[in-house]
Amino acid sequence: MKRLIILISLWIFASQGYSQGILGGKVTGSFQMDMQVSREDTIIGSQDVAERFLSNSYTTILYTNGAFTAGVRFEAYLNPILGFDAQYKGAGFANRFASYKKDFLEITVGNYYEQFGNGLIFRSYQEQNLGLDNAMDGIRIVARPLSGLTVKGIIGKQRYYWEDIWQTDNGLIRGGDLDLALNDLFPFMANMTTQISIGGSFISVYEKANPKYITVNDTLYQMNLPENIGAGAFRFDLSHNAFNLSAEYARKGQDPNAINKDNFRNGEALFLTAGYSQKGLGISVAAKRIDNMSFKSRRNETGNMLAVNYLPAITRQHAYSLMAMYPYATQVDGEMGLQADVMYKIKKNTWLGGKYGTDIKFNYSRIHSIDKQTLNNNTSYMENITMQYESDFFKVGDDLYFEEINFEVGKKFSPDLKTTFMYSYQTFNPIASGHEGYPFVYANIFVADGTYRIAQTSSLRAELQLLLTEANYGDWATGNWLQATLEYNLGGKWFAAVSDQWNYGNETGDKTHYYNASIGCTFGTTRVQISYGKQRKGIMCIGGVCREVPASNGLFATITSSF
Amino acid sequence: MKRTFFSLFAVVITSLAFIVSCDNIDEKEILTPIIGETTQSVPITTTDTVQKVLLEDITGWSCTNCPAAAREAANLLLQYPGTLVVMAVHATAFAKPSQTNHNVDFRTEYGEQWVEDFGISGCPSGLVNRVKEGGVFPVQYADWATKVAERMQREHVLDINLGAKYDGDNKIVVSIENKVLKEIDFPMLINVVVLESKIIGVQRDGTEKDTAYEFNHVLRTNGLIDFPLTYDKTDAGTTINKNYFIEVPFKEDEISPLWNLDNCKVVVFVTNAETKEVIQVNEVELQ
Repeated sequence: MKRLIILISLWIFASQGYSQGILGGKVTGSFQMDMQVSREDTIIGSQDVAERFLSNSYTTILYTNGAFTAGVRFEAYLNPILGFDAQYKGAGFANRFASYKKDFLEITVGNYYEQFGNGLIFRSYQEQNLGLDNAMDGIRIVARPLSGLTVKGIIGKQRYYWEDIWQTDNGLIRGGDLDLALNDLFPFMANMTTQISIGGSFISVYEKANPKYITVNDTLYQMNLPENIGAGAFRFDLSHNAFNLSAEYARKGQDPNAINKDNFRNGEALFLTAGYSQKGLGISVAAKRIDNMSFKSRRNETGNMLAVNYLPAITRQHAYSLMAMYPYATQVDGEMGLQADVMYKIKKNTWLGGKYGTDIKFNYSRIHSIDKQTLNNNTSYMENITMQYESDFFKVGDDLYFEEINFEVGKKFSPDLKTTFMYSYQTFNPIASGHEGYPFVYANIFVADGTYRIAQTSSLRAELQLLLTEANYGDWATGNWLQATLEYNLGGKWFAAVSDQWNYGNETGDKTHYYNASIGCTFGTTRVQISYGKQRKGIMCIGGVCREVPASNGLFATITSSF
Repeated sequence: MKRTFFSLFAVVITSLAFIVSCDNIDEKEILTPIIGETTQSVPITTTDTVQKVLLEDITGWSCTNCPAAAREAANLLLQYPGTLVVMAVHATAFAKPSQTNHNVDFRTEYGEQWVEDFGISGCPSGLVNRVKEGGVFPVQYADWATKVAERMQREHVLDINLGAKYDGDNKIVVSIENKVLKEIDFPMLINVVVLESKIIGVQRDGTEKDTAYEFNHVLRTNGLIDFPLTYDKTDAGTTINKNYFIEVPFKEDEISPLWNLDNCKVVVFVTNAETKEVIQVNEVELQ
């Protein structure tokens, strides 16, 4: 019945025209379809695809009329392309909502996305490339009763593939967020150059607890699990002229779950950022400490779905594929680290800057485990089992998880030639990607990227990447790599590219090539791209959240369109 | 002014919600030792060879239609001798004792919990192997015959062989041999309970009050509920032996048991820990 109403509504809109002026409102939409054909390839480990053809499609339709907005998103995974969870198989309206603004209130019913602060205790979001969708289904109210005061309240459950979430015991999420922009709230601060805002939030997840048992020293025990898991956070942002400083501290109550192995210890997270920026110079530093902050709306869930919170990554997110070969995944059980970014533009018409100036970027990040000590002698054996460890907040753990130092130089040599050069040295602890027991990976990575404008409407881009490492640990760390790419663009509408990733230094002596050729074009708001080639097995991470990408060999096509 | 009031209201609600929305279990109460397992054993006297069905009759002494449901259960027992196990769970407000029934209380803590867990709102009602169908667990007694017949046809994947004996002191010792016939890919829980029959008491029956009503298969207290049997996949051919004891409550004189042990039997049923469905059930008289 619900689907029928949605379909009839869409048909009414569609039959009356498109884009604008429908029932006094406006309809907009977008469409994306990814298609894949892959065949078995024993050299790269690509599996035969029984269905031969796989596709993921997403269609969004929004109707806006003044303060009212409603929308649906239709998704079809027929069947899911490689690397996406098989539980996505199927099609249907994954998302539907209606929202309106009246007076100082904004009310949304149905599906919605929301984030409190940095997301340390609550973030509902979608990341299509990771196959991650934590959309809430319920009610959200945002109130702005006074200038500078924002209050948010949410209640609902999270999406879990196509599961009927209201028929499951998945946790019910309730929460609120308060944000005070002091300079807007208090007239005497209105003209101050120092801008301050403070905020606080809380989240509570209710999940019924089924009996759980463990055996200790041949005695059976029932574990009494908390059913209401609470978390709170406090934050502030301060900016003064070119300086800014922000901090958020979060604390989570007892939350024994499958990820933290039934640890009853309270969770903690601290996220600090500071920055300075002026023309030609930008400096930012970030620091983070996480202790037992896995937070799911189902305590037995271990995958990416049903994450209630988000723990931001403080390592550089790379776009070049060899730079991103050993990506760092946030260790939700405990990590502490820091990152520094410096961007400097050497002025034009100087010896180093040349005629067009030179952009220099420096980035350093280092992530460690947190300090973990066994509980003191006064604690019982049972408490050691359930609370597991003590941790000194300011003490760094012994295990290095990840370290990277990288430099990037952007240089324009002429109006037609623009280049980027990068160097990165990465130290990667395999334990951070679940490969416990392997030695560290140390990698030197070089990138040279140049774009040459051939004519007013066409350009040629060449890219060369080199990764050097002695790590050869089977199928996930496979020695040296070289990648070359050549891409031709015509008028911003057509492009063609060829590339090859060459794994020339792997342990088995296979000189494996991952070649790829692609062509694409854009017509107005529609873009079509088709590529043929091999994709290596690896891990894709976005913001510290990762998914495995299996090897494939075949055709990949994408259509995107909007109206 | 209204907006300021709203702001204060929002802050107060937010603060209150935060305070009340977090459970904190005292460190010393996180793990509770489970009393019930024993190293003592008794001979196995009942072996299992076919698929059986557990019918839970949710009932209460003040429920006027419950005797009709009990009669339906008795008819089904005649129809399925040896393969149907009936358990009368006295729960809900209809089972609350009063002076009218001489304050006889057949309720159990877990019976009340099941009523809540399985979404049962009144009596008579029932559960047939605790199968969730159409999004609900309860089965009205008019449908019991159909559902029992249907669930009797389910695949037989587990044998529960049993022996039970009163130790003459204060314990009923139960030995169980769980034989897995086909691979089971979910965790299982085991329940061991005592049922007592031939208890004479007060029961409303339609418009009448029957003061000599015979209560049968009454679920008694001190049962062992949802004990873990397996935690993951179990291969075919696996045998899991368990020995439990159930404490027998005594009357105030501390000499005679509260239950008439001659009329008691032990029922053991194994459930799917994920779906709550009963996989197999068996019963045994006390030795």
